[in-house]
Amino acid sequence: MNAGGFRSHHASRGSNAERPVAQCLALFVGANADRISGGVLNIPIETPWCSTAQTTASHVSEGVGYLSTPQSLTSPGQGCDVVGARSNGIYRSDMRDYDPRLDAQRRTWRDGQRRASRQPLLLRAPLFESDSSTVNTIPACTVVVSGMSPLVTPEKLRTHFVSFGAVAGIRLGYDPSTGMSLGVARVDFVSSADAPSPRAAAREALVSGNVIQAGQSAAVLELDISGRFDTLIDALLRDAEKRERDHAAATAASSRRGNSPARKPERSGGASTHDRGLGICAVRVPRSSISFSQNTEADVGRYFERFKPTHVARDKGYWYILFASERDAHRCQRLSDKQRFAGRSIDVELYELADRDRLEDIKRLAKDGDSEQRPGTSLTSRTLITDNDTGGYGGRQTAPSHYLPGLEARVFVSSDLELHQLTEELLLREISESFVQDIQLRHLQRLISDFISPPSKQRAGRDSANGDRPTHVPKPPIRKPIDTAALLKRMSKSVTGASDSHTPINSVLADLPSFRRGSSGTFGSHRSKRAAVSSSRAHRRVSTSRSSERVDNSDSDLSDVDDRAGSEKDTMAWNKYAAKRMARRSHKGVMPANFSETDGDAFTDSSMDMETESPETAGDDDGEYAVETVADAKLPTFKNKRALKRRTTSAAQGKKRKRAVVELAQPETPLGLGPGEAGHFAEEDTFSPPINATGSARTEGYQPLAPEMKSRYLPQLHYQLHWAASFFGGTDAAVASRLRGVSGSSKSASGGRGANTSDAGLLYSLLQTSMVPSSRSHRAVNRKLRAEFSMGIRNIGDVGSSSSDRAGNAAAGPLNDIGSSNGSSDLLRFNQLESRTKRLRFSKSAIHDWGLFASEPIFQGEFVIEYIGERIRAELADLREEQYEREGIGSSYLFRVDDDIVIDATKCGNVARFINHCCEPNCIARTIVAGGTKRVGIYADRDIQIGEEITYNYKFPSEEVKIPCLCGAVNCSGYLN
Amino acid sequence: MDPELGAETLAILRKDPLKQALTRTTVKDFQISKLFADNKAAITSVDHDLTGARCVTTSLDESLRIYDCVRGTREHVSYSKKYGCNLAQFTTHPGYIAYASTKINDTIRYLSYETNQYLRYFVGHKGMVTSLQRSPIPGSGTILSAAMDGAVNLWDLEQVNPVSVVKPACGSGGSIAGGGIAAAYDPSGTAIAVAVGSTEIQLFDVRKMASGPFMSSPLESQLTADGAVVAGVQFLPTVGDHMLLVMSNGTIAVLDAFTLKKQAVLLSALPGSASTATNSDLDALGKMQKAFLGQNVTAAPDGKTVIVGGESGDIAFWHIQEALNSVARNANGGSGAMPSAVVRPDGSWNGSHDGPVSACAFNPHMMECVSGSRSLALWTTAT
Repeated sequence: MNAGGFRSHHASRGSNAERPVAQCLALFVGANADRISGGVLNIPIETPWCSTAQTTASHVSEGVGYLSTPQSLTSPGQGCDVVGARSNGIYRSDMRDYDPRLDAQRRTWRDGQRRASRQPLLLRAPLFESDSSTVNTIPACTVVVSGMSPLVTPEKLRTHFVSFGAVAGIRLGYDPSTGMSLGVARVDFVSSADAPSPRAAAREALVSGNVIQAGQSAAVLELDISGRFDTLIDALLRDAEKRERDHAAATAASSRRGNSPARKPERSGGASTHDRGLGICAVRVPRSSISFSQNTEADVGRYFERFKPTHVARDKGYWYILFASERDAHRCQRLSDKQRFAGRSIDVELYELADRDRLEDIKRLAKDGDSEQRPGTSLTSRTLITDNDTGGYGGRQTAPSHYLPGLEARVFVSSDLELHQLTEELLLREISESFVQDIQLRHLQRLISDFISPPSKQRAGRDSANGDRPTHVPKPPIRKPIDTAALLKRMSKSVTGASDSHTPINSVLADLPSFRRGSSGTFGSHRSKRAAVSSSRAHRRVSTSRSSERVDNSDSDLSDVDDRAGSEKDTMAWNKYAAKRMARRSHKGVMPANFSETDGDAFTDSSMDMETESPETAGDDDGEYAVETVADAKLPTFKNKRALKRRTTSAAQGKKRKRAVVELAQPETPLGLGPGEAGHFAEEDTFSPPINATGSARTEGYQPLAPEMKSRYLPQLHYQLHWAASFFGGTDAAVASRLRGVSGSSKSASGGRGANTSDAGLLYSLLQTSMVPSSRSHRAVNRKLRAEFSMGIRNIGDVGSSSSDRAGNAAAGPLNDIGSSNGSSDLLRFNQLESRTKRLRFSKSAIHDWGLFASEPIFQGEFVIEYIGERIRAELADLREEQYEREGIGSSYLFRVDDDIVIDATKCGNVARFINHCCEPNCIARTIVAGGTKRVGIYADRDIQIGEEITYNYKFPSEEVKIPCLCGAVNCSGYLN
Repeated sequence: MDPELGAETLAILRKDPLKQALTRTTVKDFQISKLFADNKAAITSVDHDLTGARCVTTSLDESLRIYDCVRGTREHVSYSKKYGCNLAQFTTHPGYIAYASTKINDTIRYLSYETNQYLRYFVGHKGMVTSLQRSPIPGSGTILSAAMDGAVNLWDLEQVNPVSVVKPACGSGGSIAGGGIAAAYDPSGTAIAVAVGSTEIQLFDVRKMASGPFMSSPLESQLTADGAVVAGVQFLPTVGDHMLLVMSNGTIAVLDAFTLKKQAVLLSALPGSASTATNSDLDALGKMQKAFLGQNVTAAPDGKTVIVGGESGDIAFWHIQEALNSVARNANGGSGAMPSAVVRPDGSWNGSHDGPVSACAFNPHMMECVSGSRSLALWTTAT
């Protein structure tokens, strides 16, 4: 557990004269003393802690350093043995053939380098910008486009390429005999004011522009290196000539010859052939063009359908498309060759059918092919949840029960109409899926909570059900899927049914939670008026209806949400719903909030809408929060049920109106609750303080409350825990408006908005850090926090100025929690490095006493932890070291930062003091400058797994008194110093 | 058309306009693309950073300037007026530069140029620092320095005190003060070549500096004729089969890195000694002549071409393999007296400086070369 690096100066000074043990020195003891006169002596000095001033002073003169220790070295002078076959290079006899560059590892590296150097080295091209220091013009960069359709004109090319950079010239290659464009062009990019680097422009062109707007031509773009343009043109011209010649020859030949076609496969656009007999009624496409696995005959058929193929087949290497007539085949070949299919250009060749048998073969193939299974595509999107899905939690992926085959595989469609339909289908599918997910998240949770702990007449009947620990995913009754299914059916009907009938959609939408904000104010008041009155009725109604009408309940749950005025079932449904909500208060998130802002447009979640307090009620609700909730952290035991019962009865007694619980939708909270949360979940059902049946709280047993529960009745705790959440819940617009409300009343002028935003943001982040469990979100929150602090430090003054208004008080509240009176000094003291530390724990170590272990995987080069302690001067550190030794503190926790400052973690510091030494460490210590001061950071030298001990090399200077090293590494040197 | 470009290379090059191939033909036609007249005195050293995106120059006017090599613009200026600066090197930590002081003391200063704060001072040398190089092993934070007090130090950037200090002894009566000292890393980073006292070249193992050199060899007397002392030592990059030894009179010798035998001599114009024309730059260089540190010699990153900035302002280049072949041929055909073979440059680039080129460096990752006299020139290919 010794801290790294610091040993007192005097100790090291004393050890100056001694040499480290390791080297192969003994050979030269004395034996070569007579060679010293030759004047060759090497003085290796390895004392990292000594200043070299001391060492040099101890030597007589340069060149003849002379040590009084027996371990002096000499190097062989000219007269030494010459070993090895290398002449002129003199190896020491003990180091014969010892060239570190020639050991095995280096040799392979060197061979690799040699091999690499055989190829010309590819270096990056600089992308200079033209400015006052430019001497020569930046050379132009030329792009060659080939494979375009002959219809593309230079103007089209220019308009296409001008978007990338300045184009100097465009030259199209023309066939001199026909005057037609060969589909090859050359584009010169030059440097201009707007586009200073032609190479960058060329690169953009190459990267992005494969489609020259002549439709589906697959143009190939490349740089004009080694005269590519010219070679392409030449090649094309030669091909053209060849074709002409072949054609002439072939027609001559065919007129002579009879019925014996030579069967040769033809290249695209190759010689036309004898067409006696069957003629060329087929084209074929090699497998490389159209992949077998992703496309079926149907796809291919569709692609070629405008040519009216009769059969489509495939065998091992090719697709065969048969046509009725040669003309069709020719036409198909001509127009489809080099076109794009599924994103790549295909080669279409004319295929000659040698005889009728072949034709039959192919036809048979075609039939067989069609009857084959569709090859699976890569579609794995989530589908609608089917009936046999029990559980219905969002996020579950089932096997696709239906999918649109080949949709993703195709980049193009043969007709617009089809594209339209496919798009529509896709969109509708996605919309329906997201709807379903949303519903599951919002409503099924609640329904499950209903199931688990409903208010009770059926408590007895529910025992078994409630006996299920809600820790594991509670299985709602089979009715659940029906709900979903019913809803879905309705939805899908409305969705897939055309847009002509509005009513189904409306009803479906009516069933969904509404996303309206602000309008809930009326309902809030509405409800609040009736709530107390009707709650008892509602409860009873609820409980009676529970068993029999589950379906209806859920339906009405879903249906009551829409707050469009005018639907008559709303009122009643509202009552029911409101009562249920209040009664059950299904738990969706951890943070109910005391929402004291006036505008109710905070939250977008419907449930929150429902329960937002109306303005007038907000005020007087502040104090009376205490009533319900205090529920038990335990699982629904018998006690709970009693509590439930008590709650309902108390509610029925028209007790204090329960504070609305505003729930934040946390869509990432899955319906499947973790064990801890399930506990919460159960708690939330009992919102009233347990009225003891025995009449005495002492006899009821102790059930610890979660802070969230406590916060309901402890106002300041509530503020602290939930203020930020409420302040920052909802949409950005809502938050912004609230912030405006805060900052508007503060006096800060220009920086006010920013100040308060950052301040509030930072509070939020602070609160989050304490609550967030996962490492990744923890890191993200810390990042935000750091950013906030760096902003907050600039706007310190504004924080205090908003203390006058209420919101300011709210702001000041949590700040007070952090600990300083006016909040600003804390910002200054915030240690940014602290938030970058990894999750670590200390425990017993195999190396020595305690050690520090990683609780999360750490990657190479990452910051692990900062070595924190008391910053003292070097002289004081010397004194303290001796003092600690006298006191009996055997371990040294002093870490030297630089010549003047030492960090002493003996009495105060952080867990970095537990890091042990290792001779093969996985971390290294580095001095960094942060926040204006030099600090010591521990960085990972390699990837570290969870549970590995963090170690670094202490780098103690060497001394006479050795400290044994217990690190157990393979190359352990045995000593710490 | 370029015979060295094979089909695959051509294919790659065609698709990526940001890549250029370094071949014999392309290395011939470099031209000046950018010229910066920022400095008021001669530039004494140029170094590129690990990715080749930046370069730092030090100059006799006590300024360190950082240039962006990709865009060809000047990025930053730092001044070191009190201590002077020389031999600046980028280190493995981005944003940090180590350079040697030239006035008052000989510490090596470790500067963060963006914040203009010194992180550390490496105190230890008692004489002018003649070589400063970072270890070629990527990620290793060590630097090598050699100074006229005869010491060769290895520093760990995190530690104030050197990891090892070695005082190589000069063989047969030479002395450091008379002979100069220079040190360089082998491209594999495992060996260090030290030229001491103009009499010997020694090779040390980095891990075992204390044991002394594992190989040493005396310098040929021809090189040290007329009092020339060792100015600089460099390995050819990538493979490291050869090393360049630069003497203060401007001669450059190519040695085999494993036998330390001289293979060829590339003679370039001798700065300051032979020319009669005087200008202030030459004088300044002449003042530093004892400390002419061979910074004007560089090699292309493939290790096949040596590029030297000459006294007249031209930049000449040699293809090493051809040079060695021609020397071998001469040797075989001639009387076998190799040392007399002085290889003429294979060409020189199109453009020149207005004064003697005092520093030159080829970017290890980009197709550009930086050279400086009083002005800084960025050279790129003309095509």
